[in-house]
Order: sequence, then structure tokens, then C-alpha cells
Amino acid sequence: MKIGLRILHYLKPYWKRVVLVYAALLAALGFQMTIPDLIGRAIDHGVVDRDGTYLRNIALLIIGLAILQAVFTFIRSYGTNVLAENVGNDLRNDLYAKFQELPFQFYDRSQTGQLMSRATEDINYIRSMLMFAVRALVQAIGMMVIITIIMLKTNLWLGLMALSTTPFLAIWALHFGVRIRPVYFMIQQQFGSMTSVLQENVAGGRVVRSFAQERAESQRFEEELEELFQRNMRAARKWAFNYPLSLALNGLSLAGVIWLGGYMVLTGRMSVGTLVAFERYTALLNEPIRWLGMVVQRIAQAFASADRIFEILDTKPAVTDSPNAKPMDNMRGVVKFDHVNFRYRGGRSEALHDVTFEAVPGQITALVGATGSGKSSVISLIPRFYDAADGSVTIDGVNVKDIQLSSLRSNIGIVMQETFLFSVTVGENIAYGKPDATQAEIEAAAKAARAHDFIMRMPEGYDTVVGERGVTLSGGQKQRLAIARALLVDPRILILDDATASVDSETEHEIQHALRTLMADRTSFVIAQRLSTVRDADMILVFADGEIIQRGKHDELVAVEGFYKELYDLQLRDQEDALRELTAPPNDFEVDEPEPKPVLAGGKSEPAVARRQGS
Amino acid sequence: MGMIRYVPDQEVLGKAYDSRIVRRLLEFLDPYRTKVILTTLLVIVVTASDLLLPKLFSMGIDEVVGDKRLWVVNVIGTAFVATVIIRFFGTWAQYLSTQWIGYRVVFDMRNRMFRHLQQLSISYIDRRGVGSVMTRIQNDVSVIQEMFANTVIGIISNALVLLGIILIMLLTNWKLALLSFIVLPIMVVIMRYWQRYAKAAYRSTRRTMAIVNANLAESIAGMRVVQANTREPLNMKYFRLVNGDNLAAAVKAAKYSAILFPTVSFLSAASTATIVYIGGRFVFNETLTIGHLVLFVAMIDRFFAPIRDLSQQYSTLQSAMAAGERIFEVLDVEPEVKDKPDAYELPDITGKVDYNNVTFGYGDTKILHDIDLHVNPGETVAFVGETGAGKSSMVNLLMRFADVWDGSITIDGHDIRDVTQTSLRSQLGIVLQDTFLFGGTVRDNISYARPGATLREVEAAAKEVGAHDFIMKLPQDYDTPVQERGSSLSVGQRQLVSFARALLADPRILILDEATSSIDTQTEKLIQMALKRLLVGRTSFVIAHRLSTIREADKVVVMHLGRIVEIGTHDELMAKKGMYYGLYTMQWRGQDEDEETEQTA
Repeated sequence: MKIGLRILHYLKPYWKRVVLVYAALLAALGFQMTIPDLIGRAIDHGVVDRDGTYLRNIALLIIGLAILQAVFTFIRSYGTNVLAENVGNDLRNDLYAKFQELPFQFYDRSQTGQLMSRATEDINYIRSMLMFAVRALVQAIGMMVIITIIMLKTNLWLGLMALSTTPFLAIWALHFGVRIRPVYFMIQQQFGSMTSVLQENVAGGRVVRSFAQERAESQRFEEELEELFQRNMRAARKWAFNYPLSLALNGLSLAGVIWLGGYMVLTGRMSVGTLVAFERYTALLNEPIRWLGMVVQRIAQAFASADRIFEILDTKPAVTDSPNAKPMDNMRGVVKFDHVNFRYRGGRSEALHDVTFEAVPGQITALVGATGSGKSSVISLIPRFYDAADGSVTIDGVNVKDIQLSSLRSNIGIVMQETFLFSVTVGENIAYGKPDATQAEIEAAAKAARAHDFIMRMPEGYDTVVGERGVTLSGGQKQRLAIARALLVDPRILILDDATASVDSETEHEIQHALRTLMADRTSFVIAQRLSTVRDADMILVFADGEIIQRGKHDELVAVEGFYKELYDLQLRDQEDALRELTAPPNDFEVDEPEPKPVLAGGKSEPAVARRQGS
Repeated sequence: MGMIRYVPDQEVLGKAYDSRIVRRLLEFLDPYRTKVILTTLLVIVVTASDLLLPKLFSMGIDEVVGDKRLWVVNVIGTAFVATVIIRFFGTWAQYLSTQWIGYRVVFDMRNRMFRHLQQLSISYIDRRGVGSVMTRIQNDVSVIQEMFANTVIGIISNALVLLGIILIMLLTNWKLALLSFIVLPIMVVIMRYWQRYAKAAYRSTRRTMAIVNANLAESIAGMRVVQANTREPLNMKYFRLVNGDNLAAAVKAAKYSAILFPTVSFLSAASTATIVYIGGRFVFNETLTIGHLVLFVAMIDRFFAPIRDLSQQYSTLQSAMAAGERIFEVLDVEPEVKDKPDAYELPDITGKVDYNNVTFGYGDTKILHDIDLHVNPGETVAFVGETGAGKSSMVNLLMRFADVWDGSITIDGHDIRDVTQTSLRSQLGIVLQDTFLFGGTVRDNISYARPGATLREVEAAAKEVGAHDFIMKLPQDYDTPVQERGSSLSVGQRQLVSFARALLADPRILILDEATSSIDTQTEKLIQMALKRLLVGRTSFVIAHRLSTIREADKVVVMHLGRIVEIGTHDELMAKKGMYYGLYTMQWRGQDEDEETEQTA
């Protein structure tokens, strides 16, 4: 019931319209209910009594009432639709606002598809409840009450006969509404199961074909289809019985009315007009009662949907501005971790334990370690994607929790492990963090990220739309756009989480070069799978199980036995050895390749840095 | 900006009847012809019994005010009950059979699309996108189901009802019937106008809704980027904007949808009034009985619903045509790679592979130029080169994911175009860079290519590649379910599972698209060892990234712009100081330079 109240709360801004709509509904219903009675009277007093004037008056009255009914029906119908659309719209806005507030933790747990269905399907159920179900329920009840009163007042016995099947109809309809739900639930489940087989087959198409498993896959899919068919038919069998049954019950009432009523007219105890009116009323009663089951089902569905929506709306964002949070205008970028402990929600063990280090502007800090060792957790704490449990993360001596989120994050540029591009133009994607950037600034950032050339080769250059509706980019191209995006905001702190993982080594080499200039006066953090990219960091932090187990420069770390040296032996050792053997005259290969540096050295290609250095 | 402002209109609505598509859709009914005929008969029975009821009532009225014979009233009452019962069983059977046919057609259609999809080359899915392919099999087919299960029968039954009503009315009293039909042309004109405007309004609602949803989906999927870039206020503003557009469109559409029902009910009431007045006068001069008058009132009451429904069913037909077109578009795609009619099973091979002057490309772009490469059984070939050099095309051609333009590829002397794809690929194994695991258990994934493999065989394969130990540490060891994105397994572990999968398949020829090295030392060690075991004793083609792999290859094939520029062992090529040497030293040069300068300074 609490859910009902909360839905009502959404109706509150429109309460005048609600009143109007339901008043119109009752008025229209009233007019509609008089027509069978008028037809009965027309037959008795007009036709049987041969009164032409009476007949004409009734005809005019019917037309007049029909006009009124039409007008009120329009008001009711238009009003409920607008009401439902408005509530749906408000809910969608609220959900969107909430989605933006919710922290990374929330997105770790939820899938896009699920969240989408909150905002689409679930809102639709609520919309359709407001549009149809509530209205139909009020209408059905109103109709039953009015018809019952009219019938019982006109002729008690015939009324009882006409209404004899109504309670059974209503109970059956409600019962059916309850019973059909699990059947539909099972259909939905099977549809989901079929979908995931399909999804896997399409997404994993290469594997299926490589292992020549097409036949087995087809077999598997056919089994899913067969099960879906069976479950659909189970629902169909229920409906196939339900619909004719309610029709038949009403038909039996009609038969009773005709039989008993006919006998009453025949014996002169009732007028023929009354019999006609009774037949009309009984027929009218059929539809709203049949709806009852569906109505109840829809309302239950909508409540379940509302429950899911409110669950999201009630989620408290874990990371919020504290009341005394201040903006930070001239950030230098001294990042300090002081005995930081951190645990993911629901995580079995600590993701970070007693992490302490300091990073200053102009310095590159590289984070090295196995998957899940805590590297990504460290960099997530700086922009407050999560909050540390114990200890403190400070920037320029201020705890990040005391800095306004927006000002904190706008000073940090991040290239994430998984590149996400929006389905807008290349230029807009680069300018995502700085929507008012000029074309020159965008191009400069793209050049620095070695993205300019391939962008210019695209059909519409910077105006080319990417994503599902536009061109597809390779992993390396996406990453370069993400780097350009991070560079454009000219951040004080630059975080590269495995930013060059999917570019080939030549491009990686070029990007490294470009980045080195860009990192010059910023505080930079680099996570990389390849040791070659972290080799020249000012400080390498080696993580294992959430703790820093080694720290120092490359040369220092390879000199001692330990994790880093092991890693080095595995990845780079023989490569370097081989190189040393063969690179006897080191200048041999240097001359035939264009040197990438001049592009940057010109300065104008990278205004973001140039400007900052100038100031 | 930075938000989606436009989505292409999904519906290419137009014709509600496209004879070509209808004919092809009807073909799906062929296997169920008897059921279809039976259902049509049932529809006739149901419609007839439905219209008989008011007729019986009117006869009853005439009896009770006319001859007043009780036994006739009893007969009519009995007939009424009997008709109700017939209608009950008729409706029941009719509903059941139409649904059965609808769902069966859907079953056949999805099945056929899926099987067809298995024959299409992977580049088809790459081109169309996973989502678009899925939509066709899920949603478009559902529209067709709706058409077969409800619309077609609905149209037949509504047309029958209309016809029946018109006939009954004309036969009862043609003058009054024609008078009642006066509103009909008015109704048709109104409907036509209404449809024109309403359709545009509905379409605009759907379009704006699609924009809202596209924005929403992207915002959710990219929320980390949104928050990292502090775009929340701006995005909220855009969202309110597109959401508001949708509201405006929906409100406009609401006006149209709200106007139709009252209009129809008014026309119906106006007809009733006409019948009461004129019909009443006919009763005065005894050209009409009271019963007939009542029959007319009942008939006109049912007259308008079928007309309204028919117009709705018309639009369902339209979308069914569009859906049908999209479905046949998929079914009509010719597989790029097809078995020849006289294709034979590739006999057990030793693994000698020859690329004989192979030329290949996509569309107008040539990707491989005149490739000549000869590999002996058991050799390991490492492909090296930049992205786009043609390495992937080399292995795709061998797998017959595409066919050569010119030249040929032979395995043990058999042109791969002359053998069946299944027999070819079952002797070829592949390990992809982006490991794809299927939903199911670890064991299911390892035994993917050999579903009948025993647990012992699966374990043996896992042990061989060094995956056994970590698998045993999983909560349910080999029966641990893996999610689609495999979140419970690390990237390295997923690779090991896919190695085990390839090993269990035990192919004579192995293709390996090596992933770049992982920094997880433990796993990296395992992978390097597993690779060696995997490559031993079979012809292997590796798109290589690891030095260890390249150094142990029998042939390093250096590719550039679709041509083989160098072939040799690692040592030979390094000594040659050509392209390979350049590529190899590339990632080190920058740093070595710095070291050099530091040292000299």
C-alpha cells in the first residue's frame, strides 16, 4: 500500500486534472447508462403506444446524451493519457537524475540492460496502469453499481436473474488474473533464456564457426524454441478457456433474462420495453467484468514495477559532497595516500591495505601488479569514484572528501581501461569533458593523442558519428580518442589505466612519446600491462593483494630479487638481451624513420600544455 | 553537445499489402494447411452463432408481444442456451488453433533464421552488428506472430461479422438498413482523416521515445565517463529536453487517440436514435415488428467495433510487412562461403598448408596481394606486422571465413574450397585474442568442440595447459558457471580455458591469435608454458605478440600492406636488419635513445 501512496504522490502535482478526469468519467458513464432505459421507454411508450412525438423526443434525447457522453469521454480519455504521460515523464527524469548521482559501486553491481528496463518497461507498466487499469477498474465498479441498482429497482426477480452469473464472472476474472501471472513469468524467463543462447551465438560467432559447432548450436536453439512454444501454449490454453467461459456465463444470464423476461411479458407482468432494456444492460455488463482480471493483473504488475523503480530512487549515493566541501581553484596536484584501507562493497577481503605514497606534479607514478592486486582501486580513490574506509587521500593537503566533487573531478583526466565512446561525432566525443572547446583545441588534443590522422581519413573528419549508428573504430583508435578526451580538459592529474593496451606497438611508441611531453608538469598515474610502458616512470609501485610490496625506479627494482624482477625476466629480459646483442651501431636505424618529436616541439599543436606552462 | 538527437526511423511503413512478402509469409503456413482450413471454419461457426443470439432474442420479443405461445418461448430459450454452448466450444477451439498456428510459425521462422545465420560468414554479423541481428530474430518475428495469431484471424472474423450484420439488416428491412448505413461513409471519411494525422503523431511519439531510450542507454553504459568528466548537469539538461520532446509528442498523440472512441460511440448512438425514430414509425405502419426493431438496435451496436478494429489491424499488417521485409532480408543473404555441391569430406590430414598466389580483399579494397607461402606439417608460423598488414586475413582465409579472390589454399593438396566446411574446420583449431566463453560451466566451455568428452579428458586437457590448478580452486571446480563476460575468471585464466578448449579439440592445424602479454606473473608463466605445449606436433599459425613465441617459430612471416616482405627464423631476420629488425626494435628505440643520451652526457 505504501507503493500505492508513492505513486499517488507523483499524481499530486496534477490533482486538479485527476479530479476532472474522474468526474468526466462518471458523467460519461451516467449518460451511457441511461440509453438502454431510453430505448426501453421508446418501445413501450412510443412504439407500443404509437406516440410519434414521444419517439422523436426520445431519439433527440439519445442524440443529446450521446453528444454529452462523447464530450466527457474525450475529456476523460485525453486527460488520463496526458496524466499518465506526465507521470511517466517525471519518473524518467527522476530516474535519470538518480542514475547520475549513483556511484561506481552501483554500476559494478548492475547491468545496463536491467537499469534500462527500469526506465522503459517498468515506467510503461505504471503508465499503462494510470492510462487503462485504474480507469477501467473505476468504470467497471461504477457500471456494476449503476446497472445493479437500475435492474433491481425495475424488476427485482429479473434483475436477480440477470445478475446471477455476475459474481461468478467477477471471481473467475480475478482468479484468472492471479493464475495467469506465473505463466507469463515463465514465458518471460524462457524468452530470456532463448535470447541469451541467441546472443552468445551471435557474439561468439567466430568461436562457433571455428569449432564447427553450427549444428549443435542449432540444436540447442531449437530446444529453447520448443520450450518457449510449450510455455506460450500453456498460456494460450488458459486464455482459450477463460475468454469463451466469461462470454458463455454472460450468455447464460442473457438466456435467463430472455426466458424469464419473455414469460413475464407473455403473462403481462412486465412491459416489452423493460425486457429490451434488461437485455441491453446485461450485454453491457459483460465487458467491464471481463476486464477485471486483466485490470487486477496490470495493477499488480505496475506495483511490482514501481517497487523496482523506488528501490533505485531510494538508493543513497555513497559518495556525496560533504556539507563543508569547498571548490578547489588552483590545484597543484600533490596526491598523497596516507595509510589507506579500502574494501569493495560485498568484497571478501580488503582491496587496499595500508597504502601510503606521495605523487607530485611532474612525476609519473606507475602502478604494477597482477589483476586484482589493487592498482585500479588506488586510482579510483583519487577522483572519489569510491571512498577510502580508513586513512586519507589528500590533494594539496586537502582531504578529497572535503573538495567539491565537480571541482575535484574536473581537475582530473582519466583514460579508463575500457574505452567508452558516445554515439555522437568524433569531435564531440573528444570534447566530452569540455563541451565548449574550440575546434582548434580539439584538433590539438587529437594530434597529441596521435588520433588526428585517422580522424581526417574518416568520411566526415571530426563530424563523423561513431558507434552503432556510425563508423566502427578499432580498439586502438578508441583508446586514442579517450586519451585525446583526457588531454583536452587540461587536467592537473592525469590517470591512464592501461590506456595503450590495444594499440599496436608502433602507435604505442608514438603515444608514449607524446604523453611524455604532456605529463611534464602534471601528476601522472600509469597502469600498464606491458612493462615497456612503465619503465621510465619516476616511481614504480608494485602491488600484491592490496599492499605495496615494492617501490622505486626501474633500475633499482630490477637490481633486487622480487616480484618486479620476476616480471621483468618474464616479459622484457630476453627482448632487451636480444636487442643489446644486435644494436651494436645504435645510429643505424635511427636515420630512416621520421622523428615524431617535432610535431609536439612546435608547441602550437598542444595549446593546453603550452598555455599552462606560459601562465 | 554530446547527446543523441536523432535516431533513424525504424519503420519503413507504407504498403499494408505487399504481395511478394505476403506470399512468402504465407509459405510458412503451408505445413499447417489443414489446421488453417479448420480454423477458418471455426471462425465462421463462431461468427454465425454470435449473430444468431440477437436474432433469437428478437424472435422471442415478437413471440411474447405477438402470438404469445409459451412453447415457442421455451424453444427459443433452449436454442439460445444451445447457441451459447456452441459459441463457447467454437471460440475455445478457434482461439487455441490460431495461437497454435501463430506460435508454430514463429518457431519455424526463428529456427530457420538461426540455422541460416550459422551459414553466414562472420563478417555479416560484424557488418550488421550483434544488436541488429538479434532484433530481427526476436522482435520482428514477434510482430509476425501477432499477425498470424491475431491479426489475420481478426480481419477475417471482423469482415465476417460486418458482412453478417449487413446481410441480416438488409434481409430484415432493406429500407431501414440503408438508412442505418448512412453513417457508414461518414465513419469511413473520419477514419481516413484520423489515420492520416494520428499515424504521424504516433510515429513522432515512437521516434522521440527512441531518442530518449538511446540517450538513457548510453548514459547508463557510459556513466563512469560521465561522472569522470563531471557532465551530470549538462546531460541532465539534455535529457530533460529530449524527454520533454517525447512528452509533447505523446500529449499530441493522446489527443488523437482520445478523439476516436467518442466519435465512434456518438455515431453509433446517432444511428440508434435514427433506428428508434424511423424504425418506430415503420412499426406504426406495420412494415416492421418490434422484434426487428430490437434486432436493428442490437446490430447497429455491434456494427462499429469491427470497423474500428479493422483499421487497427490494417496498421498491424503494415508493421508486419515491414517486419517481414526485414526477416526476408536476413534469410535472403547468400552465404559468402558455400559448400560446393560436390564438396567432399576432408580426409585426415597431416597438416601441410600451401598458399598459392593468393589474392584477397573486401569490397573494392585488396588486402592480400599474391601471397605464396608453403608450410610443412608440424611447423610453427608466426605472422608479424602492423595492424592492417593482412595477418588476420591470412588465418581467416585458412579457416574459410572468406574465399580467396584468386589463387588457392590447399591442405595436403586438397583445395579448401573443394571440401565441406565442417570437415575442414573440425580439423582446424583456433584460439582468439578476445577469449569468448559461453554461459555454462568451465567444463562445458572446455569441451565445447567435443561435447561428448569425459571429465577425465577435460581434466587432462586442462592439466596439459596448466589450467587444472586454478580450476580446482574455483567454488565448484569444473562445474563452476562462467558468466558471459566471464567476470569470475581473470583475463589470463580465460585464455587458459580457451587453450584447454583448443587442446581437447586436438586439431591438426592450430591458429592462434595471441593476446598481448599479461602482467599477472603467475598466469603469464602458465600461458607461456601452455603455448609451447599447444603448438607442439601440429602445424600452427600464430599472430604473434610474444617474443618467446616468435623466437621459437620455424618461420617468421613479416607482412606489410598485404604482402609478405620477409620470411625466415628470428635470428635470420634480425641478422638481415630489414623490416623485421625495424619493427622489433621499435618499442625500445625511444627509451634506448634516452639512455644513450644520458650515458653520453
